[in-house]
Amino acid sequence: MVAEILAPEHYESRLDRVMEAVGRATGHPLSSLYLPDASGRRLRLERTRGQAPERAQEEDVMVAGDAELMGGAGWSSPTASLELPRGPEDESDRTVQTPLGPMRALALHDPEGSLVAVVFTGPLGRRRLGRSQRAKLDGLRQPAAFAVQQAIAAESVHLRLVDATARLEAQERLAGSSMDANRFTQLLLDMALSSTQTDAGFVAIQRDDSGELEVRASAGMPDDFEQAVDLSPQGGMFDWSVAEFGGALALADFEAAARVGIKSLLAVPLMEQGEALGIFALVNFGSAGTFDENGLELCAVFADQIRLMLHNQRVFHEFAERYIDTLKALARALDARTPQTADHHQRVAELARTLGAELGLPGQRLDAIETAGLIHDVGLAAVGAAEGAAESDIEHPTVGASLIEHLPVDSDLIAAVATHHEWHDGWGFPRGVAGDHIPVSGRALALAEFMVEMTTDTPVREAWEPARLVEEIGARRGTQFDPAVADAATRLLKTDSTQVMAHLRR
Amino acid sequence: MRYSLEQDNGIKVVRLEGPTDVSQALELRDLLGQQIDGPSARVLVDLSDVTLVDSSGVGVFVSAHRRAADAGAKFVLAGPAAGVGRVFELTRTNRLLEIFPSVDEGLEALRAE
Amino acid sequence: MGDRVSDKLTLPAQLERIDDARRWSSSWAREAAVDEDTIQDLELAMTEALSNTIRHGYGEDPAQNIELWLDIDGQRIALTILDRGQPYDASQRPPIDFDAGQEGGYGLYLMEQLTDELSRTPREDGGTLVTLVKYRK
Repeated sequence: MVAEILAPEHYESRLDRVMEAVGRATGHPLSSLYLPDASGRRLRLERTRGQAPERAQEEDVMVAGDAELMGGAGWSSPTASLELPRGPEDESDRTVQTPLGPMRALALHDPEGSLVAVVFTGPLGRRRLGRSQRAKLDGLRQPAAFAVQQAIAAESVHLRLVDATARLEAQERLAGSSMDANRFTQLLLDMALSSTQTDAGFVAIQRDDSGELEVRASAGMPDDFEQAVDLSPQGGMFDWSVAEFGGALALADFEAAARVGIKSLLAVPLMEQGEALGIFALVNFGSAGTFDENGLELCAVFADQIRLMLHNQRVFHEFAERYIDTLKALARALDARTPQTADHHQRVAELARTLGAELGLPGQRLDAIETAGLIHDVGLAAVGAAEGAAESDIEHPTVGASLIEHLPVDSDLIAAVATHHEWHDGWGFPRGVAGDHIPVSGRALALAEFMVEMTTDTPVREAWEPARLVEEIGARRGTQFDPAVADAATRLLKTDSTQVMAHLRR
Repeated sequence: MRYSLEQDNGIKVVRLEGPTDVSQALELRDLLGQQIDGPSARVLVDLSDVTLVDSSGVGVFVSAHRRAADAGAKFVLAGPAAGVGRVFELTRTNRLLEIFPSVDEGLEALRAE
Repeated sequence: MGDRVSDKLTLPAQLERIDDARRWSSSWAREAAVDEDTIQDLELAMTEALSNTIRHGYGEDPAQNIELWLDIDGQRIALTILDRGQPYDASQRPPIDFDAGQEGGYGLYLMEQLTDELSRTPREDGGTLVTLVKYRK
C-alpha cells in the first residue's frame, strides 16, 4: 500500500549503503550502525553487516559521560559503556574494545553538530589505517550523516503513515464517510508539510457532481486562494499534459501563482485511469526552499495514498448503493407477507418525507428520511438469525441499523432506522432514549409509521379516519411524539388531509 | 388485542380481555405507555377477563410499573384469575408489581392515594 | 377417562396464530376430560415454546409452516413442536435475577416450571423436536 520509497526495505538498504561505504574505506569485514536514543545518551544497535556481534544486539550501549570508562578503557562486555567522539571539533575516531576484538567507531554528525549515528567497523588487525584511508573516511562523514538522516526521516514518515492508515482502518471506515476521507487527506498533507519542511500546501479533489476540483485540505494557504486561481485541468494554473506520465505538474499560469505570493511550488496529479481526480501540492511562500527529487518522491507517495483512498471510497459508495437497494427489496418482500402490510415501507417513506418537508428539513435530510422509511423494518427479516436475542422483535430497529451502520451513508439514515420506535418521553424501544437524543429523522419516521399503521385495516382494528388520527396524535403529543413533529402532522392532516390520506391508503 | 378504556374518578381503567401474549406485547406496551402519561396518572389494569398472561406480558407490566414509578404515577393490576396470578408468582414479579385481588380493592387503594 | 387423542396441526409461523394453537390443543384436552389447571399450564408452556420457535426459529415468516402434534392418553398430554430453526443452547441463557424485577428472559423458566417433562430432540434433517409433557391428575 505504501509506495516503495517509504518501504522498510528501503530504509534498511539506505543504512546498508552507508555501512558498505565505511567498510570499503577501512577494508574491514564487519560493520554495525548505532543510533542515539531520544535522550542522546544511549546508543541502540540498528543494523549489522558481515558477522553480527550477537550479544551486543540485546543491550544498549551508554554514550560518554561515565568517566571511568573513557577512551579505550575497554568494552569487556556488551553492557559496558563507551565514550564516543562528540561535537564537530572532535575529528579523532576512537578504537573500542568489543567482544569481537577492537573495533573502530566513526561518529556521524549533522551540520549543527548533533550526533546522527555511530558506525563501528572491524575487527581491527595489527595494521593501522593508512593516510589515504583516513582521508577517505573523513570525506565520508558528511554524506554518510546526510544519508542516515534521510533514511531516518523517510522511515519516520513511513511509520506515521502506517500508523495513521491503521488507525483509520481500525475504525472500519477508511474511505467510508467523506468526513473521514477529509480528515485523512488533511493528515497526509500535514505529514507531507512537516517532513519536507514546507510552509503550506493543499489537496484538491474532484467533486462528485460537477467534476470540478475543490480544495479538501489545506494548510498555510491564503483564504481567497481557491477563488484566486483556476485549478481545472483545462487551461488552469497547471499544465496537465504530462500528468498521466507521472511526475510533477508544470506551472502554466505564473501570474496567478505570483498574485497569491507563491515562491515555489510542487504539485503532483492524482490520476486514475487517465482521469484527473485531484492535485496534491506543496507551496513555499517564503524565500526559502525549492523542491528537490526527495520532495517529489514524498509528494508522489502521499498523492498515491489519497488516490487509493478515493478509489476505495468510490468502490465503497457503489457497493453501499447496491446494498441499500437489496435491503429495500427485502423490505418490500417483508411487506408482501400479509395483505395488511402491503406497501407499508413505501407508504411510511412517502409520509415521512412529507412530514420532514413540513418541518422544514433540508433536501439531503429528506432523502435520508425517505431511504430510512424504505428500509426501517428490515431488521425484522433478520431477527430469526439474531442468535439468542430473547426480545428480537423489540430489537429490530437495532438489528436494522446494524445492517447499514458501517456503510458510507448519511448518519441520519442509520439513526432514523435505529430510533423509529423510540418515544419522546423515553418509553419507546429498544433503547428508551428521549427528547433530543432521538434525531428528528427518527421522530418523523416514528409518527409516519404510526399514521400508516393506524389508517390500515387489520383483523382486529378498523382503519382510523383523519379526524380520529388528529385526535390520537394530539393525545400522544409530548409523550409518544415530539410536539413539533406532532404539530406538523396535525397541520398536514387539517389543511390537506386528502393528500396525506392518499399516502396512507392505496 | 381486545381492551376497553374507562375513567373512574380520574382513575384510568384499562380492561383487558382474552389472552395477553407475545403477539400483543408491543401493542399493550404502547397502550400502557399512553395511559401513564405524567405524574398525576393513576392507572388500573383490570385482568378479570384475561385468560392468559405469558412472559412477554409479565415483562410489559414490569416495565409499565417502572415507567409509573419513574414518573411518580400509580400503576396497579387487579382481579387476576388463579391461572394468571400464578404467572406473577412463578416469576416472582408479584413482589414488585401491585396486584389487587379485585378491581374494587384496586380502585379503593388508588382513590386513597 | 383414558380417552386417546392424536392430532396434528400446521400453522404459519406467525405470533398471531399462537392463539389458534392454544384453542386447538385445549379443545382436544377438554374433550379428553383433562382438568382445567393442567390445560392452563399447558397453554402457557406452549405459548412460550411457540413464541421462541416462531421468533428465533422462523423469523416470524408467515410463509413458513410450523408443525405441532398432540398426543393425549390416560396418563399424559404430550405436545410436540417441530422447530426448524437454528438450535440454540439453553445452557447459555443467563440465570434469572428475581430481585432485579427483570422484564424478559422468563420464557424457558416458565416452560420448565409448567411442564412435567421438557425435551429437545434433534432430528436428522436438522430440525429439533420440542416436546412438552403434562401428567394427568
